[in-house]
Amino acid sequence: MNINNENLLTNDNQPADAISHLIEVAPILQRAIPFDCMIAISDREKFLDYIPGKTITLGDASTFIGALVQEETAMYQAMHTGKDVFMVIPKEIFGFAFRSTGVPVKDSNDKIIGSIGIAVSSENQTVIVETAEALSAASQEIIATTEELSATAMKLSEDLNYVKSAGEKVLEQVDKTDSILTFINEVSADTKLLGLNASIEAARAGDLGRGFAVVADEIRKMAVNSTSSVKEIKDIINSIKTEATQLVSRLNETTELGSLQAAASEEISASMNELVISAENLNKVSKML
Amino acid sequence: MKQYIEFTLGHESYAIGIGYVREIIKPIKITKLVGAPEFIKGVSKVRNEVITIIDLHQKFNIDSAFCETGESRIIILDFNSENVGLIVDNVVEILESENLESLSSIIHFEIISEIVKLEDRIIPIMNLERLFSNEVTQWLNSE
Repeated sequence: MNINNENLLTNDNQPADAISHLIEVAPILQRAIPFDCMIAISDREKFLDYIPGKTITLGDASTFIGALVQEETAMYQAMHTGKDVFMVIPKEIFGFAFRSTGVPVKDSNDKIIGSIGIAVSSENQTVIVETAEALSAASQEIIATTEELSATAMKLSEDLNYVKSAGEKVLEQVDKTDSILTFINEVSADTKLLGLNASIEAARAGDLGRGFAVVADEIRKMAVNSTSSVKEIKDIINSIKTEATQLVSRLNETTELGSLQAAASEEISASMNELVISAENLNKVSKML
Repeated sequence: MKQYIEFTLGHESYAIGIGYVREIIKPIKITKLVGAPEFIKGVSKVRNEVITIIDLHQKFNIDSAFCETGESRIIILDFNSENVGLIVDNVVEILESENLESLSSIIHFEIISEIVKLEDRIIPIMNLERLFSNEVTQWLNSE
């Protein structure tokens, strides 16, 4: 077979020759192309040849040869517009996504005599695009959560500081109670003395003092009660003091932790922002493939 | 039923008949008297009267440093129109008892001649008449 271009142009059988050349070359071409593809060749109406790819295939040659070229195909569009056509066929139609080209084949008179189409799987690209979108979406969510975390950590920090200063105020108040207790103790001692002296007077008054003796006894009882109450109060206040002191020191530690947490959240936020930018870049690039 | 004021000197408790007590006061300013014997601390003014303040710690061999509890009091005694205040370490309470017992007279110039018996303890009664007797006063005045 003459593959000389000049001969092709002048041959009367030429219309079929360009097509039959393609038919002859197609298998070699398919093996030579460095990715998996399927090739179809048609005349103006029907498929003349079909070479399935390894993973991208719509059947074998027999399903195609003689079948009409459908309107939706790139090859049909190419023959009817006279232009090269590129189409992306989504997963929904054949069960796998692919990209196909349709190129019109013309004779020497520029008349369209048929077409050749090559289709390549875009499964990988689809996976990349879907992954990039998922990554982008996930990153956005993480950013939102991290910002919440950051805000919460800040609030926690503030709350802790407030509780801490409240704890310190409690300690101040507790210290003040010391002087009050001392005063009460004094009053208690004075009451006891008063009671004793009252009893002494009652005794000196003999019979006449009996009623007063009762009063004196009551006064002395008051004193005893005050003293033991003061002791109880002092014990209670001391344990308040101990607890408050522990609280304040524990809060000091916690406040520091809170600050560290807030700082760490900020860092995470910043990293996430960078991640989102990368994910979006990836998304953009993957769509260009 | 007789009544007594119970007080402490050092770690020991003593009792004194309530009839001998005029008043109990908190420690007050004592004006020292030059040349007075050790057991006389000085004089103080109580309700417009001058009271002689005495302290038996040294004579009874009690280390008063042990007794700084802030509860020391002065018992103002009413005896034969003597104006005497006795420094004690604590006034505890008023005792009521009929349960007395006499002690042998060789003890302490009879400053302690009787003991009052209570449920869980016994307390020596300080005898004021003996405390202010001549023999005791001489003893108190000596080194």
